[in-house]
Amino acid sequence: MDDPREDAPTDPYRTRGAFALSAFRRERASGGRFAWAALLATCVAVCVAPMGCGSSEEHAVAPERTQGSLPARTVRALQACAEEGTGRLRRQAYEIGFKVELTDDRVQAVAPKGPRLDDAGLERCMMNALRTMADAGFSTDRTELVSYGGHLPARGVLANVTVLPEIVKLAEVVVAGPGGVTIVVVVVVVVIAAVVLSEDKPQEEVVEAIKRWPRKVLEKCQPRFDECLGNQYQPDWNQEMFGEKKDCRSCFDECKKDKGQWPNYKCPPPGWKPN
Amino acid sequence: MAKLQMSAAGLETELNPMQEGDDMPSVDEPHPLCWFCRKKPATELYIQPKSTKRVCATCLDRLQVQDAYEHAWLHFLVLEDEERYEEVLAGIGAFLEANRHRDHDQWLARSITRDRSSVLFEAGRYAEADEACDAWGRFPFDNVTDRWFHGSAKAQIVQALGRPQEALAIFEEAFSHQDPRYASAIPYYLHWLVDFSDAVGQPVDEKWRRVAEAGAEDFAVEMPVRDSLGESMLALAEMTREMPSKRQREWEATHGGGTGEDKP
Repeated sequence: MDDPREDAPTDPYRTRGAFALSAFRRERASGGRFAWAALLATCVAVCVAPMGCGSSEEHAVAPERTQGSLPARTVRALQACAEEGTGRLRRQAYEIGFKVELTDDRVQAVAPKGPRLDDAGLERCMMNALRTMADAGFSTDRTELVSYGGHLPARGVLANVTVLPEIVKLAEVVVAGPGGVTIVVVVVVVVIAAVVLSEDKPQEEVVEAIKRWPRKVLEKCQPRFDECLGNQYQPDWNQEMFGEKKDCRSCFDECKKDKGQWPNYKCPPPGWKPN
Repeated sequence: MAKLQMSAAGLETELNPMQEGDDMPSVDEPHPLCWFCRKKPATELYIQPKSTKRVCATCLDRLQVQDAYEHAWLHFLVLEDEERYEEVLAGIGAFLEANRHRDHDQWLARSITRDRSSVLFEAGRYAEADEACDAWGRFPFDNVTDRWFHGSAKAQIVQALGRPQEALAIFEEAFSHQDPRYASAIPYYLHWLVDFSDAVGQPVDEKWRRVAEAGAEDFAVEMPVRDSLGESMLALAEMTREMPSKRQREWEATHGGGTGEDKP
């Protein structure tokens, strides 16, 4: 599912993620050297110069590391998606990109970038596979990440914490399904680390920090809201307490305020069978 | 399939002409009580993609208004995402005005007041969000979980206004309203006690241990033992999130596990 926030002009991740992926695509198209030279030059021009002249940080680009690969378990999951879903594709070869946001070694969001598959189910399957990549063993080198802090532009100062983004491009993965349909999967990971800078907690900045619902919260809540709208009747066991019909909008609001936790107690998902 | 739409002219809800299927109940069939309120005679059909229910005219209004409002939010969410808060506020206000005459039980007015508070909070307009939240609180609560939800929202606003001690007190007051029938919802709200207590540098007051234990009992588990009550509460919330409540276990034991949701 495409996230409309991707087009928000104030979203610094979009600028960085899109740039990284487009640079990567240019590299693929031209053999690589020119694109990487351009990327390096742009990083120097955009990251360093503005910090000296006080320009907006919105246009800064974080250095991109080209290292790492998807865990084997995630690759197998992607392959399983291909084996199950490529029969629904119309072409023989695809290249698809995903942006994965990672915080504290946890995947917070997965979004498609660039060309899409023409089967939403297969794309969702792949996004679900990527959502588990941290549990499957993917991790970033936190020490190295923090050491970049002096050179990275801050996304924004949140009270006594500065959020540092870093883009890590992973080795591409090629998966194939029945009939020889191949999909090149390109994954760019945006790593966000919080580094404590001082003990001061200016109230205004705390307020500013909580002013926006984090995108990851919306990404968790909105699919559940959609699901709720498609299945609005309470299961029998919940009707005495919460009536015949779920109040999906209220549950969505509660999910947002509860940092992305859907209130199963009053809007149980369809067919919810807890353990 | 019936489809609810907002009319282009006035955001009112309208029902497309129904396409009757073989299994569709007729209003002429004897059905004494409305499916929704179970009080008035069912004289109308509430048609949904997966099922059709016999309801009274008042409840038909209520259900159609809810459907239209919730689906309208799919549009408002896009605006909200683009930080077009004024348009969202204007949109929900217009929706209320266009449908007020159908809002017999004040569900819409209450929902819009709540959502207005939420939008204002997201826009960073905390003083206005606080006023809207107070207005929301003046509507009657359906049950204690509504009161807890309102309390947590109000406390978040007050905390954003720089009054964390008051925020804790507000949530504690709301959460002090307990109803054993809703014990399964307790674990969902425990983290607010932890969060608001943390914000003022205090451990969670021991007076809440019994409430947390009541939540654990509903899920037939012991309170997890941790270094602090707050940590135990968070562990309990995590542990029970995917577990069946007492109510669900009992219902399934006596009814064989059918869910009843959206049955055709």
